Amino acid sequence: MTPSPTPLTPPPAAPVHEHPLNVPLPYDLKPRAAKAIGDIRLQQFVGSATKAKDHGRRDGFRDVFGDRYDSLRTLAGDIKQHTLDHLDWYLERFIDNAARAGVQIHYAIDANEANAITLEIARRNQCRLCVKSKSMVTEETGLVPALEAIGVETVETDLGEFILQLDHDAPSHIVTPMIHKDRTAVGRAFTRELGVPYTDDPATLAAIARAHLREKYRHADLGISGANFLIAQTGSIVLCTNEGNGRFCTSAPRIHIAIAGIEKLIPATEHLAVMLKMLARSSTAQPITCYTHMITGPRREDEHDGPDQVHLILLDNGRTEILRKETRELLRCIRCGACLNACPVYRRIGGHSYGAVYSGPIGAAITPLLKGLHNFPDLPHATSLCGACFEACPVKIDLPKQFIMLRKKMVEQGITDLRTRAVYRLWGLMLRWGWTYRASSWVQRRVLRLLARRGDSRRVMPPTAGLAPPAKVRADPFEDNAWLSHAPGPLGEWTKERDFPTPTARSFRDWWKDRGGEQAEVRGGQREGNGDTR
Amino acid sequence: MNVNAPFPGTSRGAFVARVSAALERKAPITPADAAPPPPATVNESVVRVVGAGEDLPDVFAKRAAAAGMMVHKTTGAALTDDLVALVDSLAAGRVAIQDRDSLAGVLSALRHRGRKADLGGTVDFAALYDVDAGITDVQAAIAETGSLVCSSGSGRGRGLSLVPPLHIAVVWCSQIVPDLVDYWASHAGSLPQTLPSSIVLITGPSKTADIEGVLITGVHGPREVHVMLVLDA
Repeated sequence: MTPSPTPLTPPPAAPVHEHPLNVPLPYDLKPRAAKAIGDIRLQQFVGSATKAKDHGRRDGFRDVFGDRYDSLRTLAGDIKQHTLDHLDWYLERFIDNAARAGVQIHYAIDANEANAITLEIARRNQCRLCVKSKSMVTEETGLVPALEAIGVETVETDLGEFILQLDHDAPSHIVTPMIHKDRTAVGRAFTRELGVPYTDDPATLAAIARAHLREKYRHADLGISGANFLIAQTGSIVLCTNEGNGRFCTSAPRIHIAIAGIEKLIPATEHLAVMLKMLARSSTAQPITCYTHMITGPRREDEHDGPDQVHLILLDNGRTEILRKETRELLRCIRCGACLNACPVYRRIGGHSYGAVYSGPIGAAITPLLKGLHNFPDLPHATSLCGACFEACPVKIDLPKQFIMLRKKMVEQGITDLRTRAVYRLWGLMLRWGWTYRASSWVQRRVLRLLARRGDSRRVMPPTAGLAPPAKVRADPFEDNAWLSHAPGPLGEWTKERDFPTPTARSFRDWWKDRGGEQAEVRGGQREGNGDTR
Repeated sequence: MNVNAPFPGTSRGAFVARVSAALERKAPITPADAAPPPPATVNESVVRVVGAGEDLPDVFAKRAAAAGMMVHKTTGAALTDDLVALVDSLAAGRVAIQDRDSLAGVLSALRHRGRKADLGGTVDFAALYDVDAGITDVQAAIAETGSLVCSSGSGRGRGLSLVPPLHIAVVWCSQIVPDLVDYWASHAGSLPQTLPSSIVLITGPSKTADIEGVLITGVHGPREVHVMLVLDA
């Protein structure tokens, strides 16, 4: 690795912007998505990072499991689904066992309760300094500002989260939270907030963070973590991390508070083995994370370090709503981020465009359920329904099916706007009878080709980007490779970001008829040519 | 402040009842309710990566090296000398050693050579920030992933394998299990009361790729992990 040359002065500082997740509701995705698509640097970071992880995931599974990958996904999905189907039973069992291990357990219906419990633990123990490891659930509850408000200094210790905290920014990816930032942004934040000389060498920056945070671990009296898994059999909390900050946060301070959604449960340790084989490979293409930490209660009498108190806050916060039958599978999610990395939409619009803590396909599916469909009406549409997320998911959550269900709910609840309803009603009519279909496609063909004929709207695309255009460019709009660049009315939304191909001069039906296709059909469904008759 | 006052939040009963309701149970679950049918069987032919028949020390050494750990092979007889030589080569001034009979010789040998060496049990967590190397044993090692299993139980603790910038772990070949499945199956009978408070699978030095995906080792935990693999045990 060659460190990039260090400039003498840092590049101009980006203005400290408003927190990206404080969004007005109902949330309008389009302005942010448009901004992200126009941001070439963001396109580069997010595009290359997600592609690398997506390929790494596929290679990792193929090399180790080969043809067994699909059965492995089925097994992992079945284990989670089984636990969810009997979640009350496993919760009872987990609570009993965690209590036997000495864990103090608390129950929070919503974010406010979770924060109130945490603050009360901090107050009773006169905590002053809190070190926190990465946890999406605490992002969900807004815990850090709540702790700071009562005077408990709270430091994010995951390197990415630490940098985001210095920059008053929010994570944009479940696993790699600062995927939207580059090294110069980190250098600037360190210079501004920590008073160190500017550098943008990642190794030096990490060393600065290491030294700074070790001082924090040394003096912290409260450690906060999330949980990757909760094991009903042993009452254990399992944390999967790479940097080691999670181990510090749960071991150095005298009090450890873990906050976990109820969907983290698995029945027994044997199931942990399956989940561990899935999680890191799906997430970062590692066989396993550097540290897989199983915590079972506070320090024992014969152990010479570890916290005196371990608290676990079990959080609902809308999860029992998702637990209903038709959406239950969404709670199988192990937050690996594979669907984000695989998603062609996430890759283009980035995490902040989703306007909520959970981004990407899984975020687009659960945010409307957690925070109200009427508040996030764009999210069920922030997908191409291509199914890449489903294919990448290690627990086989059928996300496309969930999106379609959410869209159906939007119609049922009257959230879908009038214009959209009118357009779909019209489309439905067009497809209803043969003659309406033929008539409407005749009109569409004529209108679109006429529009394409207007000088400013028409251009001819080279057949393959990057190659020289063919010698004879056919510029006649009545030939078959013209494109609409500026369509009128609602179609204009579509052509803002891409061109619309004009329909061909002749319809497929006409072409088929000319070939005698219909007669061939009448002859008894026999196919022409070398007859693949499966 | 009344420390006996209940914490804020919801009661256990009300909390679990909401879950039962979402599962469409007629009444909240009670201890009298029957256990659910068993979960899906963890099918060996689907999940197993490394079998018992393979050369486990060899697989373990390869996977551990792939994870970024430095593996040194030794024998029971040469262990103490090799550990001392390793500490010398790493120029670790201050060393803390886990209180195990098997490592007792190392403490005196290091002291004999003028190193500042202490037993882990005498160095508390806060003092570990000034220690250069921690030497530990392991509870098990996993060939599939090259992982070390470090337990806080039986007078050990959590800090030795975490706080010093160098972690040296001694693995006896007989401790290596083939697969993650084997290790976690060994906990099938584990009870909450008898488990140590901390079991950590360590697979490589501490690392991050948060800044532009550039891989950096030694971000919070140890910068280097050395494995002394005792082949004849």
